Amino acid sequence: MRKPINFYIANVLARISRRLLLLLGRNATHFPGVVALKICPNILKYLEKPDILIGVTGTNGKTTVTNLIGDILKNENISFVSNSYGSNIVEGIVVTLLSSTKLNGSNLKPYGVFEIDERASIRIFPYLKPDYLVITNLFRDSYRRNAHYEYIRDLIDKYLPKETTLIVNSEDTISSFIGRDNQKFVFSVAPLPGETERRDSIINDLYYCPKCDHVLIYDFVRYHHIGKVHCDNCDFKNLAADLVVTAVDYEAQLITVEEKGEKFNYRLIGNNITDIYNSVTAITTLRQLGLTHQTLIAAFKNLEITATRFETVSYQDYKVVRLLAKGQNPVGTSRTLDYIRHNLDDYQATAVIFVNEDYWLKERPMEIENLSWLYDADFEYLNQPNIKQIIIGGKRTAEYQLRFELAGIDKSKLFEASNQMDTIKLLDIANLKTVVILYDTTNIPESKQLQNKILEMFKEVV
Amino acid sequence: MKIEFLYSEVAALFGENGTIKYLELTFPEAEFIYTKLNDTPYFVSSPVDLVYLGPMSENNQKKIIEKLLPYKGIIKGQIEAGHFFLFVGNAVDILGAKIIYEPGDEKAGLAIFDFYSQLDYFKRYNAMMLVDYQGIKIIGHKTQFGMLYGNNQDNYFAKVEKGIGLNKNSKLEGFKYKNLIATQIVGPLLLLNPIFTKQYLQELAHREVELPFEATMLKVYQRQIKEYQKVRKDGQ
Repeated sequence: MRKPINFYIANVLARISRRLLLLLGRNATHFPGVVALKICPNILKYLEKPDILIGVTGTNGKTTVTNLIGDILKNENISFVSNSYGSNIVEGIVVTLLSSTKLNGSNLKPYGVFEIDERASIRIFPYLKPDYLVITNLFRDSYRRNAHYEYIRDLIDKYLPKETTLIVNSEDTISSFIGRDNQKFVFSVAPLPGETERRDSIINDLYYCPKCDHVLIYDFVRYHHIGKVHCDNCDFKNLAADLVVTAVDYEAQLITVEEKGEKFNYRLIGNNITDIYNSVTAITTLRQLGLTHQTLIAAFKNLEITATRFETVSYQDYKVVRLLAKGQNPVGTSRTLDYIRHNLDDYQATAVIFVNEDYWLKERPMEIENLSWLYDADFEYLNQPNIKQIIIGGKRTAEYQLRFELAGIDKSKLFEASNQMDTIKLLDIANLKTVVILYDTTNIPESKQLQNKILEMFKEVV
Repeated sequence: MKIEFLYSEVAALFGENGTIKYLELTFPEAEFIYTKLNDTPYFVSSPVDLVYLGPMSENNQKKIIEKLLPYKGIIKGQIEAGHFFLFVGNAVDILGAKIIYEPGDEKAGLAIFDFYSQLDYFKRYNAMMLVDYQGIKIIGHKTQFGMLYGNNQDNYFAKVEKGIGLNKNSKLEGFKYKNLIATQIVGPLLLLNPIFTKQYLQELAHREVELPFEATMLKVYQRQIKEYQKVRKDGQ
C-alpha cells in the first residue's frame, strides 16, 4: 500500500516522542499516539497489523483476559504484541502498533492481542479488523462515557467487521447476541454444584426479551443479567456453548472444562466466579488459535492473576486482602462486594477500607465526580455481622457514608478519614482478623503500602 | 399515600434506584406501585399522590411514549388538577412535542409542553449542575445525548448557576407547572438535596416529614455546594 508523506512524519515523530518519554521515565502508552493521529489521522490504515489479531472488549475482565492470553502466548514462546499495560483507546492501539512495525509500517509480529475500549470501536474497527474479537460481557458502566448498555451494544454491532469471529459468553444474553451474522465461539460456566444464585442485585439490564419484548424468565441468576434465561413467548434463550466449565473443585483448586464431550482439568487461578469466567474466555480464545488443551493446562499451572488487581497477604490466621474496585462501575464494584460477602466465613472479623474514590481527584481535579453510580452498586452486601468496621478514606467520605446508611449499615460501624493513608489509624486492629482494602487503578502503590502497614500492625498485636 | 414508579425496571439508569429506595424508607406506610412496561399505568384509573419516571435508553423511550400516548388526556387533566409528577433525565423529553433521534428518525411526544428534543449520539453532554429553585440550591449532574429547544421562561423548574438549562444557550432548567416537575438533572436527586427534598415531600404529604439520614444528607449537601461554587469546569 502506498503511504502518504504525513504517515512517515507521524511515524517518526511519534517514535521520537515515545523514546523521549521513556527516557524521562514516563508512561509512553498514550501521548505518542496523540502526536501520530494529529499528523496523520488515519495512520491506523497504514500501519500493518499482526498476522493474527485478537481483540478483547467488554465492560469487565478485558484487561485480565488480555493478560492471560498474553501470558500463555509468552509461555509458548509465541511472538506477539499487546497493549496490556497501556491505553486501550485508539491512541494506545497506535502506540502499540508502532512497536510492532518497521519505520515503513510493515509488520514484525505474527500475533497481536489488543484490549479495546468498548466505546472506541467506532474509531478502531474501520482500520483494525480483528480476526477474533472477545466480548467478555456488557453491563451498565460509566454514565458519562457509556450512557447505557444498549448504546455500547449497538455501537459494537454497527462497526464490527463482518469477517471477525466472535468469542462470547453464553450467560450474557446482551453481548452474546452482538454480530448476528458473525461466526461465534461460545463459552459458558454452567450452574455449578452448590452455587448460590444472586437474585438480589440492584440492577438487571435485561428484563425484557430483545426479540419480542416479553418478560424474560431467568431460570438461574448468577448475578445481574448473567445466567440461564429463556422467553416463554419466542425462541430467545442462551446460545449453546462450545466450551463449558462444568465443575469447580475449590479444595483441589481445579476447574473442569468440557469441549465436545471431553473433559479437561485446569488449575483454578482464583476463587472468584469472575476468575473462572476470565479463564474459560482465555481458553476458548486460545483453542481457536490451535493450542491444545494439554498445552493450555500446562500453561495454566504457571499463571497468576496480576497482583495489581487482587492480592492476599497473611500472617498466621490474619489476612490483608487488596481488591481492585473501579469507581464509576457499579457492576464491577458489586462483584467485588459480593466476593467479600461470600468469603466472610474465611475472613472472620473483618474491616473493609474504601480508598477507591481517589481516581477522580487525580484524573479530573477540576470536576465534581458524579457519584450516582454508588446507588446502582450493591453496598447492601456489606451489611453482615462479620463486618465490624467500614472505613472510608478520601475527600468524599460523607457521600459513601450516606450510601452505607441507605444500605442499612449501622452508623457505629462507619468511620471516616480525610486521606487514604489515615484510614489505618481507625482500625480496631486487636479485634480484627481480616482487613480488605478496596482501591482504584490510580492508587495501586498506596494500596500496597496500606496492605504492608496493616500486616505489620497484625504482627505487633500477635 | 400512593406512589407509582413508572417502568423503573428500564427507567432508572443513572442511580435513580437511590431515589426509589429513599421514598420507600421515607414513607414506610405508603403504597408503592411498580408499573412495568407491559402494564397499564395505575394512575390512569385510580389517582395516586406521585407519579415518578426516571431516565431510560432511547429505545425504551420510544416504547414508553407509545405506552403513555393513549393516556395523554388523562395526564394533562391530572397535571391541571395539581397531581404530583416527577420526571427525571430524558423522561422530560417525553413531555415535549417531538424527539429527533437522528435525521429521519423522529417521534412525537405527549406535547404537554411546547419544546422538542434533538439528540446527537456522537456528543454526549456531561455537566455538573447547580441550580436555584425558589431560593433553594439544588445540585446534581446532567448526562445526556439530547438538548431541548423551546421556551420555558414562564414554567421553568430552576435558574441555572452552573451548568446549562434546556440547552447550552439556556439558563433555565426543566419545567415546573403546578405540581409537575420535569428536570434533566439525573441521579439520586432527593438524596443529594435535603432542603429541596424536605419541602417537596412535605408539600406532597401535606404534613411534616422526617427525612431519614437527614444529618448525613446535609453534610454531603453543604460540602458539595461549596465545592460546586468553587469548581471551574462545569461541563463538556
